[in-house]
Amino acid sequence: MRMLARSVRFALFGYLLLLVSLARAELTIEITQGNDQAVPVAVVPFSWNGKGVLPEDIAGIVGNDLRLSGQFAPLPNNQFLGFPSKDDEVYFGDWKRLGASYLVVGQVTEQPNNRYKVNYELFDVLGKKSVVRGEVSGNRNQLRSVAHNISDAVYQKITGVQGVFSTRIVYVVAKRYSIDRTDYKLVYADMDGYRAVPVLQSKEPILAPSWSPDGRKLAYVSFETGRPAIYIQELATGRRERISSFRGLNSAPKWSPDGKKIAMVLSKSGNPDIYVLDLATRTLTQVTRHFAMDNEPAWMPNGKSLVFTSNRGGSAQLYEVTLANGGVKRLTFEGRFNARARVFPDGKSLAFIHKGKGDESYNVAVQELGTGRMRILSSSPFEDAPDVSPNGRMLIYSAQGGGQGVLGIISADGRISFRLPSSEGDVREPAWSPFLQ
Amino acid sequence: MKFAHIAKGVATGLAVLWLAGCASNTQTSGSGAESGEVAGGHQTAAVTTPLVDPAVQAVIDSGKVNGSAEQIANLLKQDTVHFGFDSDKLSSNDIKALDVQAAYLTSPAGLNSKLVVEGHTDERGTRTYNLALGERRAKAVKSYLALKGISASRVEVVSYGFEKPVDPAHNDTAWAKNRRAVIVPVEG
Repeated sequence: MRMLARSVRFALFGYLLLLVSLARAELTIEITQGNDQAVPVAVVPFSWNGKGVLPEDIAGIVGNDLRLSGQFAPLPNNQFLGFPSKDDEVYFGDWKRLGASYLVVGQVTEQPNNRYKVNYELFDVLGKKSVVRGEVSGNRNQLRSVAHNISDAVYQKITGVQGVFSTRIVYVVAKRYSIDRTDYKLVYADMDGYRAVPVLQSKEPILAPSWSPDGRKLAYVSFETGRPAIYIQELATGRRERISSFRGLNSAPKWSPDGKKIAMVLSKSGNPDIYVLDLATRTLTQVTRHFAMDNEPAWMPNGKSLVFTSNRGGSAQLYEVTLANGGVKRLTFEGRFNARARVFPDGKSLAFIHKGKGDESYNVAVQELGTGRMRILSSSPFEDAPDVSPNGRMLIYSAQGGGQGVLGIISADGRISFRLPSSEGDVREPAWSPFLQ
Repeated sequence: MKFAHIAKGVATGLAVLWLAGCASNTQTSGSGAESGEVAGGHQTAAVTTPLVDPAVQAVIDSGKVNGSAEQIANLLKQDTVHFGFDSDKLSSNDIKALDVQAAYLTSPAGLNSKLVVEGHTDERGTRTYNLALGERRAKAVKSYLALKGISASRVEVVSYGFEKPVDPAHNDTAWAKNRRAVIVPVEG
């Protein structure tokens, strides 16, 4: 058994290394719903000082990032009256006439040893002034990261909110060949779907990935032994460890905000209850004890309580349990099904899957904890697994599109949504990384 | 065709019973040689080429369930039970099948066999919710079998939620097929 685990580990390590260089986009973005209040911004193609062609379209990536935020509307290049790349080439009148509120320009300069230097500057068109300028450099493979860095800087300067364009997502892709054969992959990608890399492959189901708060590890459920078990995997090395394989369910792992514990669902004592595993001491604490199905724990940001799904009231609803005293409070009352909650980073709202009374569809909903007010954000029939971006401005979730699973991104205000369709089977179970260093 | 099958099953059952009676007869009296020979010929045929699956025979012999050999054979073959939406209640039809399975598993022929009950759901709801619901379904089967005398140690339960649909379509027909528990015998 241990031998097997070791060989699996080595195999994965090799696989990870191999595929990093073959990374390509599996997901491409399409807008499903626009935002007419988005701020118009012009991102001018960056000038290129080097041999051959510019390896990445930096301005294109920045424009796409800003569009993905839902808060910006990049203007099409063919309307541009000029293509400035630095401050002394900018004529504010041109951009004001186009209706741009902000302007981004820049240059990419090739340097020795496969390095590239990228300079950028953001202008306030109406105020006719420079807002921020900067320089980022990297090698050829890092140019997308460089572009995302610029997007983060521009977004933060204008909105005052930290950008999430350098964050990552993980998700599961399932390719079904027959009832007896489905290939599962756990995939790691940029939040815009590019640079997708499988980090685990299996003939048995993989689900419920959860990020460690430092963004270095994942916890997930894998059926690779024929039974569900919870594993932790280090992304950089592929090193894995099985942390829970009790009889029955080992499901829905969720890393605590301090990174020291993992909440999970176990049914070892007969029916599903919430447990917390201390990773250092390996102490397991039972949190809920109820004959109903308690499921899908999510931590409040202060780490003192967990939101979970339970059908103890007759239908699946969300509850909160305080770890110190085991006190349980019901949080949702509307509809027949409210499940798989994720807590916003400010701890003030929940995202979850909702089915209303008489509804046939399962949709992403957001509820403010203070007021109890709930809003349904999206409208396709089978949505699942919402997760909140680390700045609380966007959600990622799974949906059905064209007969297969696809990922959707929607702004937390519901004003803009995107589909990220996959060319490679059913995509599901997304999880959004924390801010990464 | 059907009738013939049932008739054969009944005949075999009778033949076996008659064999026992016949053996005691031959010991007590030497006069019935002719009829004994004829009977013996029938007996040999019945014993060496059983017309009924031994598992079905074991169920019949248990006396725990009613029904023809064919009905029992069909119920014994039924390895899958189905459920209503978001439910883990067994239907009365499926209970008949489980009664037959239980009769076999408690008979001398089935006493050593172990099984895995797989629980499955349709795609509605969340994957992690369905993983728990699938376990409830598998456990409903396990609990029913326990009531019928099959010890918990012989029955393992695993839920796949809706990871392994029979029919991946997104409609009522597919969902009804996918809400199921499947009894899988464990080899060895």
